[in-house]
Amino acid sequence: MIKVFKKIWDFSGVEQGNIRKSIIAGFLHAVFNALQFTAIYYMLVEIFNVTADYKSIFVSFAILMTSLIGKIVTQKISQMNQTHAGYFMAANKRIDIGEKIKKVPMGFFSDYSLGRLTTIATTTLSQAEQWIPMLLVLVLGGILNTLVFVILSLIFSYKIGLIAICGVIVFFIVTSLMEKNLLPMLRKLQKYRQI
Amino acid sequence: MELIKQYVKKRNVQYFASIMLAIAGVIANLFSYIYMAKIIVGLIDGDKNIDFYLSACVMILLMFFIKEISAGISSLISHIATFRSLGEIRNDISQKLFKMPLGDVMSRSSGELKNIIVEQVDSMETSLAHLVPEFTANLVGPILLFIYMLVLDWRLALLSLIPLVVGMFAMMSVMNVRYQQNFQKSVSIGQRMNNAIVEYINGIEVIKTFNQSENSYKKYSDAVFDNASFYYNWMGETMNRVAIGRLLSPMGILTIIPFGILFYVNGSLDLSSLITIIVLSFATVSSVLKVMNYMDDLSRISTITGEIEKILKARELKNTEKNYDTKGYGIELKNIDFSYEEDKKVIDDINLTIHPNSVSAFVGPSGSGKSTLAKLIAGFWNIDKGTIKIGDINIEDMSLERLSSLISYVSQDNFLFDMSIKDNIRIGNKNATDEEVEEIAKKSACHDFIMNLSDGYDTVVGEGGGHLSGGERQRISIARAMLKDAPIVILDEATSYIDPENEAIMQGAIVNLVKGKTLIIIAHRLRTITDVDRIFVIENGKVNNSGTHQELLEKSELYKEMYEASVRGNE
Repeated sequence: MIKVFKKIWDFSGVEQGNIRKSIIAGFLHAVFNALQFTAIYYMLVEIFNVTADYKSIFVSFAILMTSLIGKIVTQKISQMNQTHAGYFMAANKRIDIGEKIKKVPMGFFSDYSLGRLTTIATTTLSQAEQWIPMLLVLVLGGILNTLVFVILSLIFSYKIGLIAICGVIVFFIVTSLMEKNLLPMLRKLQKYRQI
Repeated sequence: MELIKQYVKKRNVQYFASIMLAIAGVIANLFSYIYMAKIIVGLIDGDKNIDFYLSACVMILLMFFIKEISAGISSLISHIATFRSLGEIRNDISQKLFKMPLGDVMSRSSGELKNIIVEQVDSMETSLAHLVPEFTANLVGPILLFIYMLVLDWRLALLSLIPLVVGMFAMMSVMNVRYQQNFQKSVSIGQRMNNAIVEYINGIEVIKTFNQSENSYKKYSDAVFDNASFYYNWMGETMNRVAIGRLLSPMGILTIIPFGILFYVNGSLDLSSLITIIVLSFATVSSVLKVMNYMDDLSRISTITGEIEKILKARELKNTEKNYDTKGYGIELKNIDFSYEEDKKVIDDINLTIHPNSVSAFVGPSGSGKSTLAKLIAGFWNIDKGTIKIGDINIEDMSLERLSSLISYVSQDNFLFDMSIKDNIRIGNKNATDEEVEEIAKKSACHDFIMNLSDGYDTVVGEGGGHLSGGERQRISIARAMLKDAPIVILDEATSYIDPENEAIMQGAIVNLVKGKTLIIIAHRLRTITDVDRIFVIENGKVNNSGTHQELLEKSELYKEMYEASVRGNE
């Protein structure tokens, strides 16, 4: 998975700035997301201390609203940057291909059939521009949320935190195995499409 | 939507099984949250019974297990069904292209057709494989959970709906007419970009030769950046509402916690119910998010399937499915009219008869309609008025397969597939052996030049025959048509790229090969057709005159002029 992100990172060229911004916004998003659990924590503390009253209603609501608004703002920043990165990264690659074939000797086209080039510039890059932003939103968002969750659990109770880390490690082992199995199949699919 | 329904119905058993398993998965997931809530309530109550916790943990694990297994199998079934359906849709489209008038197919660019057959059909995958089972299951799950929450505390259950309703409204406000317009625009911008790419890459040779790099490249790069900017701006337009919708909708605790504290403080709610409701509200988060994702897809489906449906429902050639036997292979055209565009007659009331087993030629200035006439006989279009009969049977009453078996049509530019010469010739008759292929090549005077190619008959010709010269392509196309051995052969300027010496050899060979067949030649170089049985002079969509070469030299001024010009040109 790290390899995939490295690839996207190298692939993204001038769009790296957008991805960086998106990751920072994504981290803040995860922090705001975790904030809603503080509201539950606060509620339980108030109830157990028998100090729950009308004031605690408003405090809990204020915490939840802060979490929500924070999430909306950071989501917007993060996703807009990802979208820009995804679509413009594909656009830049198309331009690169266009520039390249202006300059290459004609012999190039007997090695790289025109059909194959067309497929890359249309289908393959269309998939890249649609999937890369989504991939970043889902995977990066998930990782950042997990990271914040693990850090907070470690702060509350290091034992629970360690269990959470074990869970995360198992998850990564399983996904990397899945990735290994999928790759050859995807290569095959890519080949079929170019016929 | 119609299209989706149609293909789901075809595999309703699979999709039903998939939906049921998906629902089982979602329900198992809900149970795991119910057990989780029990554990938390137990901890808060100070319950120290280890067996209770142990059994609850085992149940949670079991539920996770059931959830993953049923969701996995559900997805597997729906994907198998879906990929079969996508294959079918693609097949149906190609079948359809065969049945459509050639003109209707050609009026779409190959980039557009490729986009529809490859990308757009592909993008139906999500709808068919995920939307059908998962949308249903993730709707059922939260509804069941909501009923359970109603039992626990109906006030909190109802209040927990407020964020969902407000969020859904925000989401819905995006899915308006403007969204449909934007989506349609995105499809057309995408197609324009694909066309520009296909044109630029395939035309690169011409572009380089004529130093058109700057012009063509600008068109290409504009299309590419238009595409990227369009998506980015569209995203910006809807982002606020989408973010509110996606983040507010699943946030039931926004109302549950404040009101929960209120009800707890005034003593109308016990702590365990409050905790249970909070935990359960988290169980709905993933379901609600999935439903929201699919709502986005739902609004897209109609546009995507619209393009595919348009092709599948396009008008077809009028031909029936009947395989009549013709009486001989004479051709009779009666009062035929034809126009590509309305009110612009290309063929105007033509009557002519071609005797069986004769050789005829259509000649005329360019744009006279001679080539169109040949295509009409081959059945590529339906005529507007009149009848075309082959062996006394109206060609529109024949099945396309039958008609196609009667006629070998060779045009100026024939498409060669990117495979060996042998296999390209074999398209004429897929049962032909290698020896038969070689035999026909010899008879069509192609053998020698084929043997001079690097791999002989195994030489791969490149896309569209790009590795061969125009003349070589034409010679292979003729061999291919000869192998087909159809009783009627139409050569539509089929030898125009071949150099004069070889053209004479080719024509000698063809005349031998088509003995006993009905042959129609459309020729540019009149010198090559002087000895045919009958020549038809076509001018402005009408038959100006007809007869043998000698007769026409005497009675047709137009023919005489054309012939003299042709002879002069060859000196």
